[in-house]
Amino acid sequence: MTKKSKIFAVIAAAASLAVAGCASRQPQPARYVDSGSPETVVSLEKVNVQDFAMAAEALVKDMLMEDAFAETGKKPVIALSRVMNDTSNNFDTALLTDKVQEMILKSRKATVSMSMSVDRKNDSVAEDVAALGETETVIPDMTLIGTISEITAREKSTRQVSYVFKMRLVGTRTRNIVWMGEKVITKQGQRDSVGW
Amino acid sequence: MTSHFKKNLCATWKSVALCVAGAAIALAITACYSTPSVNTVENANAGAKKKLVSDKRIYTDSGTANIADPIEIRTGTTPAGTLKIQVELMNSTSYVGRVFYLFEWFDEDGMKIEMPEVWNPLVIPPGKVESLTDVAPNDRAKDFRLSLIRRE
Amino acid sequence: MLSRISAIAALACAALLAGCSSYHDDANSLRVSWLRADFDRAEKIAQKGNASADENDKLVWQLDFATTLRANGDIAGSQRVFDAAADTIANWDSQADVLMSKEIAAGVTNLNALPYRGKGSDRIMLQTYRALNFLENGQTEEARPALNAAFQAQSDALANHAREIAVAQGAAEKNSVDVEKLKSNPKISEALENERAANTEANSVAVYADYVNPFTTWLHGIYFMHAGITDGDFERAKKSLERVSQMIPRNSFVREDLKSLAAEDPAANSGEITYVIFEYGVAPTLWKTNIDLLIPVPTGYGRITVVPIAISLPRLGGFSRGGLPPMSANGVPAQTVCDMRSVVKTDFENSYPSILKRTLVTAFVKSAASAAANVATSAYANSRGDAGSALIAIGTMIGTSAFTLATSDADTRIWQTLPENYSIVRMKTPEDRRVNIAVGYRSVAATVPAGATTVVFVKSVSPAQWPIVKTFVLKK
Repeated sequence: MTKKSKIFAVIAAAASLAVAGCASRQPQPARYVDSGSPETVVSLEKVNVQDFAMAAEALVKDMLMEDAFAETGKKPVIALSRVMNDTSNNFDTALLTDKVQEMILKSRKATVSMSMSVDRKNDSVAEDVAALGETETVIPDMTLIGTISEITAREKSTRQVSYVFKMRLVGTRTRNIVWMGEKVITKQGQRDSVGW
Repeated sequence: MTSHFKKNLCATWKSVALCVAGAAIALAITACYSTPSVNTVENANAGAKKKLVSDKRIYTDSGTANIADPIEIRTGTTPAGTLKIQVELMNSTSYVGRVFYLFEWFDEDGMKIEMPEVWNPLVIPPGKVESLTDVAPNDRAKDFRLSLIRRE
Repeated sequence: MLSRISAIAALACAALLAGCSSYHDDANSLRVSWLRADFDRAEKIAQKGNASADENDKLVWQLDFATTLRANGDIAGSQRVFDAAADTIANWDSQADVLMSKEIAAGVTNLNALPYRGKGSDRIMLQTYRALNFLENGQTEEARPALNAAFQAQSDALANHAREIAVAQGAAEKNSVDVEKLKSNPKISEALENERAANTEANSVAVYADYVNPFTTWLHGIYFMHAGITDGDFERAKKSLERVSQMIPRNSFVREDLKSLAAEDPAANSGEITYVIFEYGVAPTLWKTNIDLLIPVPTGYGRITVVPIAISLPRLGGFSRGGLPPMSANGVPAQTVCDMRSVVKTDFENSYPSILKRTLVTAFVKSAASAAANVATSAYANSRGDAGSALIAIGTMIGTSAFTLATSDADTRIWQTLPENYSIVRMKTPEDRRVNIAVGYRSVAATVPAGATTVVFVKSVSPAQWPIVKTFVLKK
């Protein structure tokens, strides 16, 4: 083997090792990932499970930071009135609202009621209690209402989608807005022009 | 001119030309890829009375430390008396820092308070100091931990 | 030499299989059943097509299967399949514009080897039907995202169209084929021109601008007008109905709705309203046009060989004869809100230049390769001078010609079960809540459910068919 061809062979071997080392496109077998972890799949065309978690966390923490539940001077009763899905894909808004209710409940700053429209149609407890002949409905002090909307943008092969999660806490009797907050989750991605 | 002198002169000029070309290419590449970094202006005699927290750090990735280095941790409470934390992170590199962060909270016994948690994305431009604020999920929380991981 | 020929033959067989499609025959059976209003049989054919379709054809079968389920009253089943179709589209959208494995197969056969990713009009109608399914199932809120998606699909269609053009141009450059020069070949240009001129039915249909589907836009408008909650919703309704009014200026019902929206309080009840939607007929389909020519092709070393070139192109066909039958609700004549023939033609006209370009490139490449193979085997036969090599040369000529002709097949994949026309009636809800629907010489009575705004949806594919009537509430 000449000196030149030895050098080329070494370079070729090094290059193929480098490519093999960097290769991260091997198909992975199915595995468990934590639904809140950085390893979850990020999709442009839909709201992902981690997006709901991020939005719920940000909105509730903002409520706690701004002391939204202190308005009534006592531990208020809060009910979820309605969260409207104004995006372009169908999903169950309970993916957001259940997390919000859970975090509010665990904060111990408010009591969560099922008396309003979102939960009322699924309220088997109320049906059972009514069947026993005793009903007592407590009108909540505040109601939570919200919308999830979508803004898309495009430049050449880059697509950007922003999901805007908005919520308001409204005094049930006063109709005053006690708190409002928004969490925007923006995702961007590009499509390959050539693939296999 | 002797042929030997000519040869040397040619060789010298070739080296100079190569160096100049190499430097020009390097400069061009740097100009293409460098990201503008952030300049800041603030009150030199800050009036606010900060309650600073001394921290314990465990660095396993120097890359993350460079793009999101905690430079100050402040503590406070909300009007309702719930603990809140603000961490200032600095990106001391010349490129955009992308990290995920997670706040975890612990009660007075050091037990973790179980809440729905999710790693949040954060983008820190080069040279910028970004403030991360979090509030404890309830009044049982007495301590916290912030975790940071670089995003690919 | 023999091993080389065997290798070529093997490659040709594989390519032949990749480009072969039984879609045309099965789709034809589906269409015949659909035209006869034999929805049960149509559903069976579509179900079989969907089950046996490969990934390339999956989407087109999903769309037809979902529509047949809908016509048979299986709204839940239809919605499941439409959702699967939406996932198929999302899957293709996440992949590269050009998939080399598919392009290689298409390059040696025809465009049927490429995946069907959904035309612009397919994506819009898919979401429109999803919205209608939700509404008919009483899920009024769930219809909102579907209508948003339909709206989004209209703006995405333009961007997707631009990408199609780039892909077609890329294919031409990759194969070093000067498409403009090919198109200007007198024989090819004359054949193409004659073909276009002969299609008088298609030529008489106008196109809509910018992929906007007036029915989808109208449905979007009345949904946000009646089921809207915020001022932003009423604004959306106004914009959509204004757009429809510009596209279909003769429709007085749309103008009435715009007038109502312009009132001080759009949400104020001006009495109960009933809309009657007539979904009539069958949209045009794609047929094949074959153009077989002999053209000179360079075969190297300064040689020019005259070779057959087989061009198979799609063209719009299957237009119904006789126009629309009279359609009315309680004697009030229906007015067209969307000519689906125009929607289909718009899509076709926009994608035709790319299809033509890619078809010409493939046809030319195949012909050139055949010519080169023929020249090589002829030269071999001449040099050997024996009967065996002469037979090989003859066999190659026959084989390559047969291959070229057999693999020339236009891509005629299209959503077969779309309607031809949408017409509407807008009326005050009758006191007895009874609406007499007439389509051609058939009439059916419908009872409108209780509600401030209600819709009667009438499905008919021919005047001889008894219309299928469904009702739903848009606003309680």
